[in-house]
Amino acid sequence: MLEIYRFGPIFWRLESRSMDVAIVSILAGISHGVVLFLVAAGLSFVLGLMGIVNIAHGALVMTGAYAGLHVAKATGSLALGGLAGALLAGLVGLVIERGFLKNLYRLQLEQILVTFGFVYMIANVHLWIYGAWPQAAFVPPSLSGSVTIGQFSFAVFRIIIIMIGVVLCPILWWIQDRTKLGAIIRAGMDDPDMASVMGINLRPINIAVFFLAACLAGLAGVLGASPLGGVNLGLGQDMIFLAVAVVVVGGVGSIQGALTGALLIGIFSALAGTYLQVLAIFVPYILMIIILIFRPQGLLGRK
Amino acid sequence: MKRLTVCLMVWLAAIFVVLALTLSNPQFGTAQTAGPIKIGGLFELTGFLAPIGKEAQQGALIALEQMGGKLLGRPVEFVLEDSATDVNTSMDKMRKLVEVDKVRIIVGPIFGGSQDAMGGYADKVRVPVITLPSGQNSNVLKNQWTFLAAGTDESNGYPMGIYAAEKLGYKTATTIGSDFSAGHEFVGGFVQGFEARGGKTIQQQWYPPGTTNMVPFLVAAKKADCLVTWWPGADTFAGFKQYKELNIKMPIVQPEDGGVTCNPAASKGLGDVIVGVYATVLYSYLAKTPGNKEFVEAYTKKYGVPPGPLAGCGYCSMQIALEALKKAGNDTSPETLKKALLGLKLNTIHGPLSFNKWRIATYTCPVVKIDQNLVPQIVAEYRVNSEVVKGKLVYSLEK
Repeated sequence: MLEIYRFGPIFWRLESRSMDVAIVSILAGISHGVVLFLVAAGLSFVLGLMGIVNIAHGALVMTGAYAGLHVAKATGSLALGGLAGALLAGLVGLVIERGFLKNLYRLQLEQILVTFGFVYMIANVHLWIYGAWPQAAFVPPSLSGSVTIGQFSFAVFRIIIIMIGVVLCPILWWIQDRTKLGAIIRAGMDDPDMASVMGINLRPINIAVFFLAACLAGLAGVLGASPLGGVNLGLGQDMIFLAVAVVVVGGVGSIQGALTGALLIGIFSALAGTYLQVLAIFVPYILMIIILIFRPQGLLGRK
Repeated sequence: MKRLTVCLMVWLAAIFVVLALTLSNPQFGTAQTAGPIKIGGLFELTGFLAPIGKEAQQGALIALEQMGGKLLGRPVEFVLEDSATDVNTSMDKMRKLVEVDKVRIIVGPIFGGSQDAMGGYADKVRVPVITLPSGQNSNVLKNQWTFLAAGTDESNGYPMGIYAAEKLGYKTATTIGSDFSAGHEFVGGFVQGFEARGGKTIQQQWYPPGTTNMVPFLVAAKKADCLVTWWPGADTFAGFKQYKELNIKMPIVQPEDGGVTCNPAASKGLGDVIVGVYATVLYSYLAKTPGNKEFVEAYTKKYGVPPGPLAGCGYCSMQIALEALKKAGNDTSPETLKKALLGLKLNTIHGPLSFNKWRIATYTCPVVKIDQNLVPQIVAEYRVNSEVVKGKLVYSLEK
């Protein structure tokens, strides 16, 4: 009895610490997953509707992050920063689509080459304007606190990111599944030729979807800068590979798919980081391979 | 007979033409002892190491300027190339520097992968490469023409381990490092020094390069007297930011500052989370070493901030290259240049510096503590001897 009494509390403390570690890891994974969702949702729709593989999507994340940081610092408002980041990324996206990609529909190799070129150009423009040093992210003082989870703290801003995801996801799902615009987008993804025969002009829809996808990428850059440790020239590059994995896991052209894939990859990567350490790098891609083998259209992708 | 005479005349004419063309070439006979002395520079001007690559280049240029751009009465031509923080690009650029530009010595690069790849080629063409920061063990154990101007990565981590155990009184350490060779070697140096002084490393974690979410690794860190981190470049921002978010109380020590924590151009962005952090640095702008004051003044005047660790390394490596070329004089054989490098005894901004037979520099390595104004104040200085014993690198403090 004495032994149990002596070791009992120690055992409980260990278990309690393990629980704290798991909870914090999962929450960090969810907040990372929401940022990934914003990046991957746009990528998924552009691929599904327009058949465009936009490698420069990550560079748009970085564009949004830098512009958002600049405006947020100048105005003291994260909302204005988010708006500016999203709009600038959207405008750059429009330039890429209208200036180049509109002539390259269905030419995927050319799309990859052109958008890959934009990755370098956009990165070098930012290098020229902002310099090479990473910059600290902007977090408003009102959101810079933290909540205590056992022996750890968890940033309030990460919880705000999760809440933004909770609000944005139903809105995007509603647009996709319950509006006329969503119906046209779905029709365009399922059978663009048939949609055209039915008198639907897909060109403005394509432009709007590309613009919105770029805006979401820009917003992801602004929101993701803080939990990902700041704004730097590699920010988008780091995210684009994971976003592609999210699209494969969740499926192309589906908000639910993008969310499911992003949360799975966010949470599994975080838990793998905690418990499998360096093997964490393989987890998103192993998940991707498993999905490709057993369900090539993704968990919730359009057939 | 007549036919033989004609044939002889034709041969003589041909030889005359060849000789005339050769002698009329301005390069002939002058390339070795006249014309500019060419030094190659391979710096990370783009890619993920661009911030520190640019600084290293700026430091090297100050060394050239202070020397007046001339050596042995001949102009010095600095042929600068961007390695793009990429192994393949580094190799292409090195071939160009050696085969097209005909440089005699190369300063750079920073990226360990590039250093590693270039080492074999340097051995083949017998062109000395003076690394910018510390170098990896493979450069010592595999290659013969790579000179490690700031020691090995391990030799820089080693004094931090000694200091943590002896002066800070830490008994246990848990480590987090980027999972590539430099990460393993900086942290490995710390562990060697720490355990040599009775410390115990209770856990070692390695995160995949490119990780931005450090939370899983930070929360998994076991409780110890100190948290040892090696976060290169932008990882430093993610690491410190998330360490602060999680309100972890373990003090951080760094077996090299990743080029950021002690860099006046970048540390402001990290904020007060770095106050109290201990780190070894490859160079400190506060060091009271010969020529450092003049270098810091010149650099600050030109670039607006005091030089960071890599700026100091760029300056020192260029200083080494220039002194070796001067010592070799007009004898341009690669072996003479290598011998000159091995025989150098310099007073540098890194303190007294010389290479041992394994081409590893012994220099003064500062341990710093970041104060309230984010200034990395020097709290100790160590000189580490590196030697190869039974195929392994072993370190000890210079007596």
